Amino acid sequence: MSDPTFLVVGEILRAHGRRGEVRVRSLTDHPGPTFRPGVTLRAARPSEQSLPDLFLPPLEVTSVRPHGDLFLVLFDGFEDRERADLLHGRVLLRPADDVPPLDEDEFFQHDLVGRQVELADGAVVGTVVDVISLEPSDLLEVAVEGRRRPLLVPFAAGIVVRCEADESVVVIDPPDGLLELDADP
Amino acid sequence: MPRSVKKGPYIDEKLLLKIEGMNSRNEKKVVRTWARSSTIPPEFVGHTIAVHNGNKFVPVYISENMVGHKLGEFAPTRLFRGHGGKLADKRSKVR
Repeated sequence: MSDPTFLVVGEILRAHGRRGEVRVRSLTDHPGPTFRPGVTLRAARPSEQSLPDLFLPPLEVTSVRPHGDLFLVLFDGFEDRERADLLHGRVLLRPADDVPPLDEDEFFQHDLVGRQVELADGAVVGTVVDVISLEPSDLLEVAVEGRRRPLLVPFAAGIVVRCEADESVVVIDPPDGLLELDADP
Repeated sequence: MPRSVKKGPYIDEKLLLKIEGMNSRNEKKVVRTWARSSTIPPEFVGHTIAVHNGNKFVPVYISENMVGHKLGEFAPTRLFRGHGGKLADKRSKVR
């Protein structure tokens, strides 16, 4: 699996007020170190999330303040509303090398999607199609052949036996009944 | 008003009996339940309980730090799929 050069950390919703601030929805698990003055981000079209928009300069954050679930962010060189409107609808990228490193047993969700789910004896269960963020443990949504509804598997230490960064499989040891849960009638 | 302390926590009786039965047989099996308001006692730790969210059963692996919470807290009735991107900086940890 190739590592992306940039990761999506936020989404610009619209301009706020006349000073050039924009509303930003955080799409990172670490908004603190990402949205602070001095950090340089890149803007991209939502359809091309791995490539920065070459028509827009690097965006240096000059001020940030919380606004409900969002952030009001001012970028250097975008100090009026007309300029800020140019950023409307773009996603914000940060170089993958600059994001906080992964902890032990931690994975990017996009890295889990597409992995094959197997049992300890090598039997294939299905393929991870999505990760649902829940507390305390996330859920892997697994597409299983011949089953309409996806299978939900807790991404928990008691169920996931092996999941390595350099492998494309997730090995699970499910309790009896998990694989049949919510199966089609 | 909170529940009276003298009553103790509400724990679904049928669910507790099933789990205690499995504990005595040293067995691990997914138990389906609709008892979202049941408090999680220490006996549930290590089991996977499928909690109904009104639409489907959400498997919840019970860990130590969930004791004292209600089952329904871990099976949200509205699953927000999230905005953003295939390459968002979202992480999952095996806990």
